[in-house]
Amino acid sequence: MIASVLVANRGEIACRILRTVRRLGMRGIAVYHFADRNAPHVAMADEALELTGSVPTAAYLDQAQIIQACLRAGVDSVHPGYGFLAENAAFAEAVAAAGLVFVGPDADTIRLMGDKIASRNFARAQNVPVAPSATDEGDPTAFLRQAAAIGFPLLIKASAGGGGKGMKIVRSADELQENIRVAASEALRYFGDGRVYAEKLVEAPRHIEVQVLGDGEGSVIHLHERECSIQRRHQKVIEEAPAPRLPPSVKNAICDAAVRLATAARYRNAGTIEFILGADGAFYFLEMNTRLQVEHPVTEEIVGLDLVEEQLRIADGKGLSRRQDEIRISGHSIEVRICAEQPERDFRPATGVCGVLRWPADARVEAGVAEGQEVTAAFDSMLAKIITTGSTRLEAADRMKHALDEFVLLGVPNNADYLARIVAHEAFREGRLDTNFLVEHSADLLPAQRAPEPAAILAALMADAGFRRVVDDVPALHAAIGRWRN
Amino acid sequence: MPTTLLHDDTPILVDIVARVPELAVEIDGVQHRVAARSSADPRAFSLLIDGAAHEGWVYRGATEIHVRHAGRTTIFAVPQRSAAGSARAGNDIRADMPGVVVSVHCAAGQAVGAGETLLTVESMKLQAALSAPRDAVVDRVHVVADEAFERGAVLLSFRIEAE
Repeated sequence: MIASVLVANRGEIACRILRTVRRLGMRGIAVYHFADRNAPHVAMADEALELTGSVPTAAYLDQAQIIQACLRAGVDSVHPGYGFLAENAAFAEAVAAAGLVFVGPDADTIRLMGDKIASRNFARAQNVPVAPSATDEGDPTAFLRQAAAIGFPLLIKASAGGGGKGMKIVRSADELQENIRVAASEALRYFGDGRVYAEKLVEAPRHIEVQVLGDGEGSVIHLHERECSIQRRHQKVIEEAPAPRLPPSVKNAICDAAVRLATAARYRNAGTIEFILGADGAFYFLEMNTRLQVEHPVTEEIVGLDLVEEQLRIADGKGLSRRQDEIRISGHSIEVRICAEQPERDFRPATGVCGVLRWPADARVEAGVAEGQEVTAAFDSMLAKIITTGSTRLEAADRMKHALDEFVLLGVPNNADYLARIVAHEAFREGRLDTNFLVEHSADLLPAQRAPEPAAILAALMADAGFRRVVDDVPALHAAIGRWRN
Repeated sequence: MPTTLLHDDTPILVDIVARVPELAVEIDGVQHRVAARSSADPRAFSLLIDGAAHEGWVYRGATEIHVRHAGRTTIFAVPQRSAAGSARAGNDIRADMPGVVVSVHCAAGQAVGAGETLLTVESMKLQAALSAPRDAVVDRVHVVADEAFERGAVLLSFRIEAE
């Protein structure tokens, strides 16, 4: 029986996992790099073990050190969160070899789903639709010919890829060869694997994904779908559940396909099957993520389950807590990702100190930062997530707008005001979403900078010691003269 | 003695017109009467401006002042006195955002031509090539591949040529 969990992660997801671990009465162990010594996940753990690394991210990727930490802390399981080692098959094996439970699927499933080409072939074999594609089988000329035969526009993707890295859009045959070369070189650099494939590009699709739970014995249920179409450069910005304006026939077909795929894989753990949905209602398998997703809270909010608890239960061999017919959805939930970036400066990453941090009162907050903490460029720019839920989608959107107006983070430039403009936008409120949303509405979402209000200018001046000295420390005689110059 | 703040690189001119009986401040030519109420948390501000109450949060960083007011965050830069050595600025390649060095394409002592790529850097998954602004000789490369840097860090210096 699992009685203790080491969380091999940091930031908001480490806090999120530790919260459930402790609620269930288990011991929660954190690991951290020195740069994170003041981070909330360290403070809330029963025990925290320091890892070293040449750069901070290296610490969280150091499998041997993490296994060592598990043995030192005497834990019986490891939760990888998302990112870092969450989809690393070798790590899953190393955890098992150390006699510990990996809260996730087995290494073979991670390997299968981590390989885009193999997972697509697997999906196709289960009658899950995949977009027409061509694969480089070692014959560049044949690959070029087959890719061109699919028709343009085409998408060149890394076989080992994800997150939009190394992806290229090709609109004509004469751009094809050069784009394949660049994509393969980027794929090699990012993923250590230069294999690429070409796929039919669905223009401005919606991104719909299905949350599943599998017990590893062939039982799989779905927890309905999420819409993650509000993306910037293939990075999700806002997610919600359920997907708005989705015809029931399409919804059912997508959820059925997801369950079919996960069942065939005898999937164990929480997982997500991602699809793109074209304007014509045709949908295609994108990939399966064999871990907890960033956006899992919106599903939790509408189905009333704690997905980390479900993961731990499954890892402990206790199976699924619910049958499919016991899953009901209620209401609508929206999540925004608060990132340290400057939308008005082409989304440049930002750093600083969380000088003032005030969370909204009536929203679920999943945060990895605390007031006073420094935000550096060492880690991902996502700092926190704000989740609001309502009985209807518009109620959830209204609550999100209110929450974002109430939210204060000063000292680290961030995207909160930009997110507020998105959720207040007419097209968002009407649920007219596709992955081109942020580009299409950029003029509304990134308006020319307005001049600051006098109140903001005066507040800034009053906070400036130099200005206050001029105001306060002037001799009474001079002050009485009025306009005074030196 | 006008004070200047910068917003989005645009200067805001502020002049104190009077201190008594109340503070009067001129912002870009428009005069405002200001009274500040003290608050328990110095980061929370409460101002009475031309008779209207304004509340919010303010944070003074090293070079910037961040203000949250009326559902909007505004960041002002406080102009800095030019630091010693700023005359050398033209001889340095500085980072305009934090990131990581992907690769270094030149070495100390190497003559490079205008536009030649010197460094490839990556910030938040986007790669950018930093190229020579003019013909020059590399004096020192201050970073190595995979090294992380903060905004404003000097990445590379050119040799100062004799006039």
